[in-house]
Amino acid sequence: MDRDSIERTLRRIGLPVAAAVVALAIGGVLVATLGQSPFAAAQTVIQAGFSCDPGYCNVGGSLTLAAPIILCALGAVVALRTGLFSIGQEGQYALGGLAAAVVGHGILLPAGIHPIVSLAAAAAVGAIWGLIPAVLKIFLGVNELIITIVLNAIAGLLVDFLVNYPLRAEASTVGYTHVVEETARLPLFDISTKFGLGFVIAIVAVIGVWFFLSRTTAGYEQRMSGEATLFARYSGMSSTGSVLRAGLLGGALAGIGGGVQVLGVNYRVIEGFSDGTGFTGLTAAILGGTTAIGAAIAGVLYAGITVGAVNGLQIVLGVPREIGSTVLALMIVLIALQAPLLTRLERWLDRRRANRRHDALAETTAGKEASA
Amino acid sequence: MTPTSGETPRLEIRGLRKYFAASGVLAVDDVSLEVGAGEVVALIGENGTGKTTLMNLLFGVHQPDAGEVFIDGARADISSQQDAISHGLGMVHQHFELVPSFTVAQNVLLGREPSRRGFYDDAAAERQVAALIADSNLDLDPHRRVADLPVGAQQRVEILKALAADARLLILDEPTAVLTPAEADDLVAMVRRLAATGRSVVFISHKLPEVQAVADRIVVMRRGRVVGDVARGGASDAELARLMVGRDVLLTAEPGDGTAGDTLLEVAGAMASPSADGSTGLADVGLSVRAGEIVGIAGVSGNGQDELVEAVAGLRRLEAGRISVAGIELTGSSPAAMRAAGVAHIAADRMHVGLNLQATLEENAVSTSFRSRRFSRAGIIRRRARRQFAEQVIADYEVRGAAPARVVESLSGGNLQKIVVGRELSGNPRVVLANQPTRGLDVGSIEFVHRALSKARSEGSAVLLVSAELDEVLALADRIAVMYDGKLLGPFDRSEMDRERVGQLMAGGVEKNL
Repeated sequence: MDRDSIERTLRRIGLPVAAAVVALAIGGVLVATLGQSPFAAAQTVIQAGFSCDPGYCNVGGSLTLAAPIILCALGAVVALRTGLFSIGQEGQYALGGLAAAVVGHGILLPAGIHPIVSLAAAAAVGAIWGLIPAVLKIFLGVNELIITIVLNAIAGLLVDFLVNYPLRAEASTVGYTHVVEETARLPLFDISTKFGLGFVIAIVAVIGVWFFLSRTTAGYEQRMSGEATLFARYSGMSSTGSVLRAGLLGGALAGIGGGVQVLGVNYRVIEGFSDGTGFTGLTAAILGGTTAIGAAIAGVLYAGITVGAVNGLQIVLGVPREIGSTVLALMIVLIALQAPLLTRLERWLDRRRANRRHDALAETTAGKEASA
Repeated sequence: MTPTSGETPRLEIRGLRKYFAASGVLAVDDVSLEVGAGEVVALIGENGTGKTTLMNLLFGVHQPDAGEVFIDGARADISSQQDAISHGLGMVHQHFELVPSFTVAQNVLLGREPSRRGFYDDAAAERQVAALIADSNLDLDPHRRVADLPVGAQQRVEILKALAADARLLILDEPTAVLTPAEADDLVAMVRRLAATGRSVVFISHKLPEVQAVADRIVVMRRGRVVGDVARGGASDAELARLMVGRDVLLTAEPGDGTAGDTLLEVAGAMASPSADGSTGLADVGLSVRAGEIVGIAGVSGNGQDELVEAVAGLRRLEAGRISVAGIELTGSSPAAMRAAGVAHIAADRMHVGLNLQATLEENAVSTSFRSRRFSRAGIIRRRARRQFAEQVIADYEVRGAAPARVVESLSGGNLQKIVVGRELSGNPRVVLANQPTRGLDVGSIEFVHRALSKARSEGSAVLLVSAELDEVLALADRIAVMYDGKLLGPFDRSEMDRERVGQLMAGGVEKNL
């Protein structure tokens, strides 16, 4: 490896890690202000989020939570890397989950096929929802950022309406859909934490997205169009095509995220299903440097800290679990701060080095003069 | 006038050195230089020879590893741009830093506005600037909005800005790169007038004729070192070019042998509306280019050349007219269809159009052919083939400082253009569109691009060369046309054309006996 690539790798991996460490340290200070030992808190979070005993495997719960986050993060990676600045993963996740619930309950299919068809429905609905901003961007020049914010709200409210009225299972205080058939559920490896096929699907998707972006001609075309639109068009690539594909593919991935959550964990959609999982995925994508592998690692970290904060900090230590989400939010802030801070640091170092050299030079000249 | 030994130079640089550890480049290697009061010193050299680094060291952008700077005999420690300005240095960059919606006076006094009772004092500002204009012999109107000014005048505003900060030494970084030939002539005259007022000027450039016209002394840099320091008239263009490159340079390419084949590109009755402010569009342009010939289009930029090239490349729709390649009509085809028909395109803007600077060299090298069997199988990239092709481009086109898997962003302009040319000329294109292929390049790279275009011609491509450099067109083209105001005059046989005749057509003079 030459110097360039070492430096690039360091930046790519070292900086997110540094952000995570600093955010965790600040979280520790916050815990200390509440009168608890930060080290005990850290131990509790790790214990509750990442440990595994024969009796109860905490890390299984974290990985279960990580699966939809990773899939939404992949949706964000595909969109952001290929020229569609979409933050619509939340809405795609919500509608994808609902589609899986409807197909999982409404159609009777054998066990092996039912989850596949249900997930396909989740992917299709997510893809359609993801296509809307792409079409509006191409044909009307609408800013996809604004559109996806609005589409997230629409999707969340649409899901709430549907589970309260047309799709409502029975009279109760909260609206929810019918429970999906046994045949549609994803197989579980560990009943207590619901750790099952969902996480495997997420990991397969990580490998698939990595392969697509770095090894296929279509992925290459997507990246070139996303990074340099004029260059892509000049080279003979279709920029409209790549924006449409970015919307479709990103939406499908986030939609599968919703499907995995419904078929693997919830088994139905309850009012308020749009609970921020898509946004968490988006931030995990950013923390992971908009790469598939990075998004997977960040997704597991996010899920573990969330589980650790809820089951550890809150239940064991009585520390509010919001500390967990605060730390996660701080990571994003620190990531955003890095670029400008690094530039300043480099300049400062540069100047210091020069001054020191100058001082040394002055000393030797002064010494010479004194001796002369 | 070279500073006499008794006189204190305005600027003296002693033994300046800068090593960039990150890239392992010794950018400035023990450079010493003097600039006298009222002296114009031209600093010339290929891209990436340390001219810009040297100026950045003077301006506090980088800190030198060794060496000292003296201004008017006093040692100057410059650690920021503000320091540089307070020491009487002024810099005019290639890209202007002006507020378009402000007037000339407001721009010139930005940051040191005169005020009365806490309010901006417009009258005082214009008085100050008018006095400054009169004092420095610049031709400007302080009331005008900068957005309404032509590029040449905007550059004068930048110069005036530096003078308003009491600059005694002006550094002009490739000042003529953005100017029309007439504006460039004005600039040269203006720099001479400025020098007459006692101010010193460092004039950074690639273009030898203008350097010869403007400078009292010419300093040549190569690989971070000063390799030549000659008084005006002390060296010919060829001698200076040899100093810059370190070997003999072919300043004039050989024209072809005149054996052109079938017509490969035909444009008829092309009409297009203007693409940008100050451009003219196309007005009934017809042209044909045959296999094995270079047709050169001369003309001042913005007279329709970009529109013509983009139309043939499939990047722009014509309002009327036809385009055919090798006898097949392709009017209104997409860029992909044009490329499939064998049209290669060396774009004028290599930074944003010709390359993706964030991508690696190998990714850039295959952008027009990544779907071919050579580079893909069943939708999967054939990485070894791609790597080999990238290595071949690096070797064949002498791309320096490059590796296939490295991002191209940090390469110099000449090396970037070699990647574009290498990609476009691979695979024997039928038609080659070369739009300003050597703009901003150093002498060595220009020679390289010229050789590559000549080679494409001898291998049977039909080459359409668009250039604002008259000498380039005269050196390479078998037939020469001139674009003026959206109309194409010609093409004429090379033998019928000389500098005067082309220059006259470029300026809009219609010739009678054609």
